Amino acid sequence: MEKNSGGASMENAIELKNLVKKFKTKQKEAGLSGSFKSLFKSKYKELTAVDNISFNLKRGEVVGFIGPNGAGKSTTIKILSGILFPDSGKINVLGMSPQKDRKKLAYKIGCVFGQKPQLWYHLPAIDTFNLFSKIYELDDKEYKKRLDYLVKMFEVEDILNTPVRKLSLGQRMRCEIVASMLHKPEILFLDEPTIGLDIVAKQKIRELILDLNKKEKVTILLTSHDTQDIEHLCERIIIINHGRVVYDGSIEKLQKDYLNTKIVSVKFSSEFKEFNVEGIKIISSNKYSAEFEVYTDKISIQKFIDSLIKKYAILDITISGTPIEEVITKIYGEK
Amino acid sequence: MKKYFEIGKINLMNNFAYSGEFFLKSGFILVVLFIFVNIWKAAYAGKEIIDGFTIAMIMWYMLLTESIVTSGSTVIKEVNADIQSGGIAYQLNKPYSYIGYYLSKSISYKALGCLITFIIGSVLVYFLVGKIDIDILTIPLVILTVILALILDFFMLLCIALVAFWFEDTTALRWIYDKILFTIGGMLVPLEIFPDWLEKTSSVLPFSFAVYQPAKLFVQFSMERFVQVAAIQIAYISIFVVIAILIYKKGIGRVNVNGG
Repeated sequence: MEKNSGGASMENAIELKNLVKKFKTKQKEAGLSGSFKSLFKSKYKELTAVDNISFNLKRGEVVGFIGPNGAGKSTTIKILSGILFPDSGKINVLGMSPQKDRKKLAYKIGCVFGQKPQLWYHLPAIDTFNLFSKIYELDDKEYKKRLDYLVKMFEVEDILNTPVRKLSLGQRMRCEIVASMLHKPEILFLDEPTIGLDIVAKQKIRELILDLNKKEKVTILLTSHDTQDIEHLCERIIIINHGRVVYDGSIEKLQKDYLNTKIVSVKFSSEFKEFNVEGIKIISSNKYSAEFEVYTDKISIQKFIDSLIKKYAILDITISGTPIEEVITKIYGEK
Repeated sequence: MKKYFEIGKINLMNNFAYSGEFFLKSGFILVVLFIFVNIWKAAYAGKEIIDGFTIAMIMWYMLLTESIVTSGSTVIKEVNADIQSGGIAYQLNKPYSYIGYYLSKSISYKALGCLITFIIGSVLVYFLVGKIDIDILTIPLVILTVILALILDFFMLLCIALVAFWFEDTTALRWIYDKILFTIGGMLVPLEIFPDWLEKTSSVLPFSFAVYQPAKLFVQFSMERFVQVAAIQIAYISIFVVIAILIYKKGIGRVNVNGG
């Protein structure tokens, strides 16, 4: 493994060059005989989770890091936070080598893993906050001021003393972010922060993350399966698949090239017959429902709905973005 | 240091959510002690002393060994789960030592469990066999050796737990370890009951310093013995700390994290 060169540039919070991480996974033949054989001889299969990834993150940037399951997102984040050891590559996070300076770096980074809560489940969130103030060795006065500020910002005053198990997912996630921001980290790793949340809670979390970035200039690396998270939050997006970077660029370009369609499902209370407008493709339809593909570079969602309402009485409407897998397929298709 | 104290404290608070289970487990000691007092009564029929122990001494001895061993530790279960599921990753993004984190959790939980079991059991033992002669001033010293015993037990368990970096599951090793504590550790009977060669061997092994030695001091205190026991406990703890750190450092580079 190449050693960290040390001293990231002042401009960059993260510098990653030619990162490679391989995993060995045990293989077993099917059935009882397979189990018996594996007692004496283990077979391993090597899997390249991260395959020569390079990118830099400027200080204060919000970058979306996306890809399908098993693409290498979480592995990369775990390497960046010093938890996993890479096989090769240069890593520089805030001028430190995460693997050598894990504990020192931990004071400067915050992590939120949507699927792995860090709050103590049976206790109120305030108990975890108090614990973290000791773990991060915060000055009591400073901590109280910081807590007060974050609690107001994230609107969690009324739920501070409620056991975490009794909180809704949205409330819990707001508390998770407060917990990870208490020590004023310079980098925040957000791994699926909106997973399982309803639309309103998702929107709230997105607004808060943006607010946090604006006010504190915190660098954010965000992974999500929800392209809308990325569209709302990020200026730049890195897409990885099979451990390789397949896209690294501005969100505008991605939106223009690949996220220029929305899927709109509509239920009608009057009979649906036809709808011919430029920029609209009917994917499927029957008497009282239809699914449209809307090309947002040709017609805005607002305009499309306005013209639809003029023609038909609508019962229900659902708008969804292009699934990330489809974006990747499109990118590959072009290559 | 303060952060580790806080980790221990919050772990206790979290466990109070299961206070019913906590007290039920400690209360089961009553059944165990009741059965053993009857076994010992049969063994002591017509005898005052066996291998230097009266029946009262043996029951108070057993109350302490049971309290130490059954106080329970979740370190194997938790460390195994951390390593198998890759959950260790989520423990490591905070500025604390992984080993220190589990030491704080384990000792706070075990010390409280041990205390509650001892208090509940002492009522029954007092009722069944009466008291024994104990100098009140020696109690803090015995408590010190009990705490050292709990720390020693933790580090031996941790060494087993960390083997999960190579073997996926170490519960079989834990099962063997428990049985060693029951027997040559001295949980069920004092080592004096064993044949001479086995007594001599067992009494120098680390397992007896996690169970037998503090309990023996409790019922038969001598300052000379206390100094010797505490010194050897500290020496064994140091050895297992070094082994645990070596295994951890070697193993942590092998962490496989699923997903992502």
